[in-house]
Amino acid sequence: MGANSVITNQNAFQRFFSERDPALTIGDNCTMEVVHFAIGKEGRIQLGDYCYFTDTVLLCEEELRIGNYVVMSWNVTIADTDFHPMAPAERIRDAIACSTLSDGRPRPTIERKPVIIEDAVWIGPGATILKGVRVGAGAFIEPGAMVTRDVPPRARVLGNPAQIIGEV
Amino acid sequence: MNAARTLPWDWYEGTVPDNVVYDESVHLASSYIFYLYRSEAPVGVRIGRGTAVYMGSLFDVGQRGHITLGEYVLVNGARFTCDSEITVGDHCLISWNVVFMDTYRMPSDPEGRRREVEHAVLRSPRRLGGDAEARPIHIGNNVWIGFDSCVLPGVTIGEGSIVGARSVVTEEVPPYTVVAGNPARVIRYLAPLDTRST
Repeated sequence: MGANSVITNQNAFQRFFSERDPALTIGDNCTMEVVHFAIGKEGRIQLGDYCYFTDTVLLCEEELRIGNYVVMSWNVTIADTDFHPMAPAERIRDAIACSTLSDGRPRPTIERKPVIIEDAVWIGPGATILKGVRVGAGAFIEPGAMVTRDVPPRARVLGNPAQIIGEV
Repeated sequence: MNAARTLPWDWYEGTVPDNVVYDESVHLASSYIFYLYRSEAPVGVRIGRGTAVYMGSLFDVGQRGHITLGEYVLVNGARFTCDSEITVGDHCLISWNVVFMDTYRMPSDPEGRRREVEHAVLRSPRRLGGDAEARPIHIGNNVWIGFDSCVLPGVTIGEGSIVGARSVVTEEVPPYTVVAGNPARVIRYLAPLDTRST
């Protein structure tokens, strides 16, 4: 963790299970005000400098790469996985593996793709960024947007699914 | 109202700011809802008779911001980010995690946002609060807003309308209209004098 960076909440690492080293790197001058670093065994999160997150949930099974000067508002969720398989039969296996009656067999492999957020991106309240998305530098993610595809640099996106509505 | 402006049931050791105007019929869950409140307006928040503001609500009001809630309004955990003006009419029902923001509190150009983040780190406590244009939000009487919805700067919602859950309201909603979606779209019109329960 870099110089002059803070994490304000005690429960930031309640769902931190990463076995990678380093699993989380935070640059200088970052403000993490109630942020949940929910990182799975093989997950890794990298944050640049001057990031400011408030009430944010970062769900990572593989990789989240976040640049400098990135701001995330209340109730933002970033996830690099969908947590469960798409295929119906696989989902049954997964449900059993997750259940109280699990016989110890491993969960099926679940698709995951790194999320990359470049420098100076603003993410409004309630927005969600899904797996495999790259958000270009300077982009402006409007409140409540559900970002399912790459966002070009300096684009303004809104909606579910998020669409480009302009430039900054 | 007692002189100290504390709430007898409060778990948070705070007070209700002096420029918040309300009477004994109003219920405020906690003084915690004012922890980001900085309004220096003569009346920063005016709350009408019979209105209740429940836990999870937050009045994040800037120096010049002011908010008016009408009578018999139910605010069941909404966040108000206000640097200009937000008005909510009588008999409105506001669900949980609804966000009203009359400003983004951030310049839209990336260079301005970089500067703002650099300044925020130097403030104590560290707060973001960039100069951005603020455009008032007006919610008419008898409007119902579903949970997790977001009302963006400059939006007016007409009397009697309904906003479906998880909507993002980006433009004006006419009176007696049902809107839903992200961005919110009109899905139905209501009859103003309808009294049927379903």
